[in-house]
Amino acid sequence: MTEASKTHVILLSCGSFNPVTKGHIHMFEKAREYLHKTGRFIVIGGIISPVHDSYGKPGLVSSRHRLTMCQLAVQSSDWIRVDPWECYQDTWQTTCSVLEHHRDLMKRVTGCILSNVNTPSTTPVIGQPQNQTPPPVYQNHSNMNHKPNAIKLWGKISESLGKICCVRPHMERFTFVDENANLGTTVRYEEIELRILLLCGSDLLESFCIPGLWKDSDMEVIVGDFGIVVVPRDGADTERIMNHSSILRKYKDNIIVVKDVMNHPMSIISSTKSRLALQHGDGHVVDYLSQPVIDYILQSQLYIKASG
Amino acid sequence: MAATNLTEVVLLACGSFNPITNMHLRMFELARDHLEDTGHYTVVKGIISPVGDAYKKKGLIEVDHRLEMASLAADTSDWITVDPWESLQPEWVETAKVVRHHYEELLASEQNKDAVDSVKYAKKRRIEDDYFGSASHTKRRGGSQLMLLCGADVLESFSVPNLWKQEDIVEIVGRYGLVCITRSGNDPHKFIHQSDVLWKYRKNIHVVHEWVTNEISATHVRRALRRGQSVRYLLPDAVLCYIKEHNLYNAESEQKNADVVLAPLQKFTGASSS
Repeated sequence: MTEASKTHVILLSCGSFNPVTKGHIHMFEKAREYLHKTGRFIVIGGIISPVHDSYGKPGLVSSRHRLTMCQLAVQSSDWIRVDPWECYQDTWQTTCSVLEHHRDLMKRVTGCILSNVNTPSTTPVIGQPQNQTPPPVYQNHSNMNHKPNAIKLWGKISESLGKICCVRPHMERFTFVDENANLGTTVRYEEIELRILLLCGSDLLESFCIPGLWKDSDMEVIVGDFGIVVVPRDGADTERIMNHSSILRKYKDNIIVVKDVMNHPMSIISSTKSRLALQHGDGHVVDYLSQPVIDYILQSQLYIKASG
Repeated sequence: MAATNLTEVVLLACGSFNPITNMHLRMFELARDHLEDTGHYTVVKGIISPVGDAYKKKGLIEVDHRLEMASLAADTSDWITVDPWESLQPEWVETAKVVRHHYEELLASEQNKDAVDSVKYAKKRRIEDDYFGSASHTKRRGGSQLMLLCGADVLESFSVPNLWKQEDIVEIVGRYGLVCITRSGNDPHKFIHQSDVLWKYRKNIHVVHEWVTNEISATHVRRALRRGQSVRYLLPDAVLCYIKEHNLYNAESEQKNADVVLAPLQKFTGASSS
């Protein structure tokens, strides 16, 4: 009798954001546009989650700086926000645990967000970055300590790890016993299905094919339970990439590749290029980074020395 | 009348009340007990404010029925009332706007008190130091206070960085106050502790440990009604009679708004922003 209702989505992007670039923001916007175009999704928020300092990547500036730069980059966005949870943990968090943290958090707070204890002005909910106030400090939670063996390999790949986008196309697969039950990774409140999807670039997808880099069980959770939205860059062939991994093949319905972004000038931007441009005083940096971020970098004298 | 040292409190509960249940009424009783037990407050009024139909929640039946049922329930109490203002608005109204409206009404009704009372009130007034620099966000001493009755999830959401605008949080916990009903013992205090804003206004945040205040019991009631099961003693008899009389809550009513986007999320549909 009626069409299936839309899935409400939050896009979560993990990565170094060292520094956050225009390409990162463009990735969020393109993913949202594409998901809306399919008619099956409503993107109600975006989360930038910078990696913990102990990630160990050479040249990774302090999380204090990376968080501030991210906040400057989204200050005019009404739907993307920066979350410092990862940075404030005792140690590096797996992508899996970050997804689970946000899912569990959303389960608990979605109800009040949706019934909206908030002002009329602009966005309630998920997109109001603060400008100058430092974020409050989370209490330290005890967390699983995954072996950081993968970190070293990870470092080579992870330039734009922040962006993994997955879209789960079919609503009909979810059956709910109780309107208020939270089954698996889907939050159900007020009859709304809310999914957290990992947003990423094709390089992260590629990293799934590297043997030993990811735990199979983590991949099963990330791709199988949550889902990814991929924004291809630098001419990547996502079909070929997905065929190289049995887990990606198994869950290909949970992987949505955003179309029409290749050949966009933003797709060649990277944090690495940005750092090099800064080191060499290359004026192209204004194409890569937003002005408030550039100003902050200059004022704090970041990325002066060559690294990594 | 209230003793001179006690702050008068009005409790405001927003929600669907689809339908109102005994759990909703209990929430008011628990909150009142807790506040009066501190020795600083006297709770003079409770306001039930059902959301308007424009909220577009799935299964939300017409506001006229919900208002009538809430009134029948409030009739059993000598201090809890129903206010239809929110439900009569043509568009959905954010909770903070509803709170602000009732706060302004409270101020207006106080101004109508006699001159003696206004003098006393003016003397007791003092402006608190406001970290965020806006005097209008401070609570007035000596006057009546409006508090929002809600669940602990509100507190947790306030302690998540960047989820809300700072000034919104300051308004809700600074100018008004929260009474959070919760089942889980320690968590609410953790959220207050881990947020500078909430910590600053911790005296305005009252955590009451008991039932979880959300729509679970109303959902259960609707489900039981669809299945022809008894819901007696979950809600006042008068409300139950009304439901039977008007044959509310069946499989069809539960499908209302099934395809529609919930009002607060409607702005997320359509083209992406800049």
